[in-house]
Amino acid sequence: MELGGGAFWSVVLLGACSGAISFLAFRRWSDAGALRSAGNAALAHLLEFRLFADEPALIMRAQRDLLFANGRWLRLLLAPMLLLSLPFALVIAVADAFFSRAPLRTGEPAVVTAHYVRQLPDLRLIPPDGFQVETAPVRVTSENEVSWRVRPLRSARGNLQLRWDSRVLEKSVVAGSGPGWISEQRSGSVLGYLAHPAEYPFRDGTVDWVRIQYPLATVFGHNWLTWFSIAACCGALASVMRGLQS
Amino acid sequence: MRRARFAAGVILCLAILCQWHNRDLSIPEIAYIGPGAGFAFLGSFLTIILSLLASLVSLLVWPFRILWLALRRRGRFAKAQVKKVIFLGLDGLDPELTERWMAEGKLPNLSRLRAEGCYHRLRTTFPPLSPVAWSTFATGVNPAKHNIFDFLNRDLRTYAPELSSAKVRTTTRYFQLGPWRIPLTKSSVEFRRKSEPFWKILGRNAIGSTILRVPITFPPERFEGRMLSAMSTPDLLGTQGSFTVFSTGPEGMPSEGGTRCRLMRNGDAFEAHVAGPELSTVPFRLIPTATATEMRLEVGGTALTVRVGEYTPWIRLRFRTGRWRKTPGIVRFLLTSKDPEISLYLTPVEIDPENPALPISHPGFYAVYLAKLLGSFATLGMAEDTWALNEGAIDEDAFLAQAKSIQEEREKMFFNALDHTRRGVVGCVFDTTDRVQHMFYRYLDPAQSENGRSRHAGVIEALYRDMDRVAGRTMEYADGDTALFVLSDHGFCAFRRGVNLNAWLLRNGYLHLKEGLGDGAGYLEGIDWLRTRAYTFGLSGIYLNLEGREAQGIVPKDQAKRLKAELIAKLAGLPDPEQGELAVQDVYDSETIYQGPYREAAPDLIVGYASGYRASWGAAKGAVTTLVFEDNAKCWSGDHCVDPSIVPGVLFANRKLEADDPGIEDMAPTFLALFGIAPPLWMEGKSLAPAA
Repeated sequence: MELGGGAFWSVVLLGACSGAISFLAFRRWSDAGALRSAGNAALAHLLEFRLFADEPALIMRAQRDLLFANGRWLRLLLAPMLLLSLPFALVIAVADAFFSRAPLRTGEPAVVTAHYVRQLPDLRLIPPDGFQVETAPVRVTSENEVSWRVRPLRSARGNLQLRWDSRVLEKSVVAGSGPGWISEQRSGSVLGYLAHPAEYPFRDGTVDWVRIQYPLATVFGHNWLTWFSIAACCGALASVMRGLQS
Repeated sequence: MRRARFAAGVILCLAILCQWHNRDLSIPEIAYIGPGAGFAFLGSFLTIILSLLASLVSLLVWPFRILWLALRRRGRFAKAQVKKVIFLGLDGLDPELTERWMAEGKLPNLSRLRAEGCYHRLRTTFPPLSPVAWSTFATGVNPAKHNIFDFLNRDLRTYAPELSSAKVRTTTRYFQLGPWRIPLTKSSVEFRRKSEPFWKILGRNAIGSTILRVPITFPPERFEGRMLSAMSTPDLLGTQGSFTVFSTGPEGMPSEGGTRCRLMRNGDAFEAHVAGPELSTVPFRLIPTATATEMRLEVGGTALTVRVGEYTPWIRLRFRTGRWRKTPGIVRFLLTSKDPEISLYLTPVEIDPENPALPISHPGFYAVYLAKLLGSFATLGMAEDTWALNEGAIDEDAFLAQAKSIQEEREKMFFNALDHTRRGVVGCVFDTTDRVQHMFYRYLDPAQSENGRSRHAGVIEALYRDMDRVAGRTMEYADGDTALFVLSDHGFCAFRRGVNLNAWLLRNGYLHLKEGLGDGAGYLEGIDWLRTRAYTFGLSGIYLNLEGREAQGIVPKDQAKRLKAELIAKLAGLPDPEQGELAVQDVYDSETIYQGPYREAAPDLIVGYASGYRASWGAAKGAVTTLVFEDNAKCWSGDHCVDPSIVPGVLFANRKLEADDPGIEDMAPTFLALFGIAPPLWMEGKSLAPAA
């Protein structure tokens, strides 16, 4: 599903800002001289592959030296990388919730799957207003999964309810058009939450996760990360150039 | 452009990576944790993957390469006596000084080399100049076969001076398209040394060489091996080295070897421009600090603190030489004074080895490799700024610091090459020995007033000791299968008095000036060619104004021999009437000392000055002064542009040589013979290696 120009400019702006912030962070928290020296050493050892092509012993030595130079380079980058990774993981997670999936289209069915730890014979799916469950649960017992087909009747937003025994577990669902906050999967584990942070995890030892198969979203034919990466590169390079000029 | 290409490459790589992610978008945030980290990891892993691929390819291809090499070398090594030849060239190392200090136990490593192998005085070339001698060293032929007779030669059509070793031809034809100028022809560098150096012959026989800083190797030739150019490599302005002095003080004397510029005050700062190629400039600012000996320098995106008497590291500058073109260069600054006037010395703008604007190595990326691995380095042919010291732009301490730092750069390169060579030839010429002796010989010369008075009186001895250390370190790389040679191209003697042979020719009626123009202070200035039979420029040659050769030649060819004999008879044994000493020991007819196809380009006579004398500074640049003899008042107080018999070089080897009277032309055939290769018939030198 194509998200259009609005999403494109949002992604580009986000990417450019991220690139510029990255540059500033690297300039602030890394040793530029040592980095240049390590990068130069790595390049020099790469050139040794061509210069001493007839000498396998020298090639092996160049390989070893290159690994050391690379290790040193990464070590020098560690501090800014660690400092940047947390905020950027957050930024990417939020942006991914907006731009990677499109809401369910009105009238078009989607599959909802729940993964459980033990068999739940009386598991039921209750749709919110505007959605309809079309099929009885289909169980794949070897995979510990159960699936339903759900059809949105109109643009709507609500919570699907999974009920068994006397317990209830909710999963958000969205139907309509344009970008919006979409959580593809809600998990019951910390690892699952780290991979799908768009929706808070639930605390239940019976169900692992619940997933809705949303349609893929594209920005001008490509995944949003493509434009984000290009914009981030451009933002970083522009900052480098500006830094050099000033 | 390189940055734009790099940026495009990074974007392309990221785009490809993201397309790859499109296959499964379920967990994109794990794969991508931010641009900064992404750049770092991507760059690092790309490097590792590339290198792994390269080593894999190298290992896979290696058996085939070895097979191919074995086929090429088939039978070649049957007579080889060594696996490796190392030569350590110490430009200008004088035999008398070396022998004296060896006898005094000050050069233990050279003494050991002499004891374990051999030591000889090495006959040099006519004339004993580095470009001539090292060209003969490389080719094994006399100058008439390699075409290098002096630093300078002349254009026969215009009499204009030209560098004898290379000519850079820049583009002159452009197509103008709006704001763009598109060159229609390519710039080129013509290499004027002829004949073939031994490393090319070895390369054809599948024996690689690493040749570092051997004079007259610009532009570098293609051969099987690695080379870094040396003497004759120009700076970015196309000169052989032009320094600049920026000062707030009075303009001072006009400079011969550089430029003097004013530092302009702008608020608290002082500003000026570094002049680059094609009239381009890079501005810089010098900002006073509270410290008495420090200032803040901002130039080319770099800001650093400069201290009085301390060189900055190499600084990369990019000169805008076109709308879309920037030419990179490297410079070093030295704050020579802060109070009462600010004075800032700037080295010549040299070719940046990390991004060379002209070819300075073979393969082209060898200079890049050295710069990336060992740091930036001086690339100028004669990097030690002797003119700056001559003209007081820097003092002796600053000159020595510069020379020391350049020598350290070369030492690193040389030992890197030794570390990476198992078989073949490795050689490097250190010319610090030459430059320091030129500038400090007055402290060794008993006849010069400054002898022994300065705290720099021991500089030359310290330099020889340091070279002994380098020789000792080199000896560690010489095993039983290695032949090691330590040699110099010529020796040294004092330069107390200059001789202007143009003035002598004028007085004796061989040269005439145009009437009303006075004496010619510039290059061959004011000479009446229609009445002039002989003239001189450069360091040792006299040229006849020969009919049919020079554009305005008047000496008929059939009278040339007689004229040469006449000049030889008058000049050989020429005394200096003021000092009562012999000024010219002998004069040689080039027809008798040179044989080869380029003899026509040679000076007609080679002057062998006596010790203590040399062509005067004016004569060297073709000036016609009134005085024939004059005192040499410059710091440049030692020289070797004298009769070759006075200044032989040295030759040490770690094995016995068959040498009664070894000459520098014998080195190339010796190296070939050590690898079992018969020297070509056109080589004149004889192998000194004992028969296997």
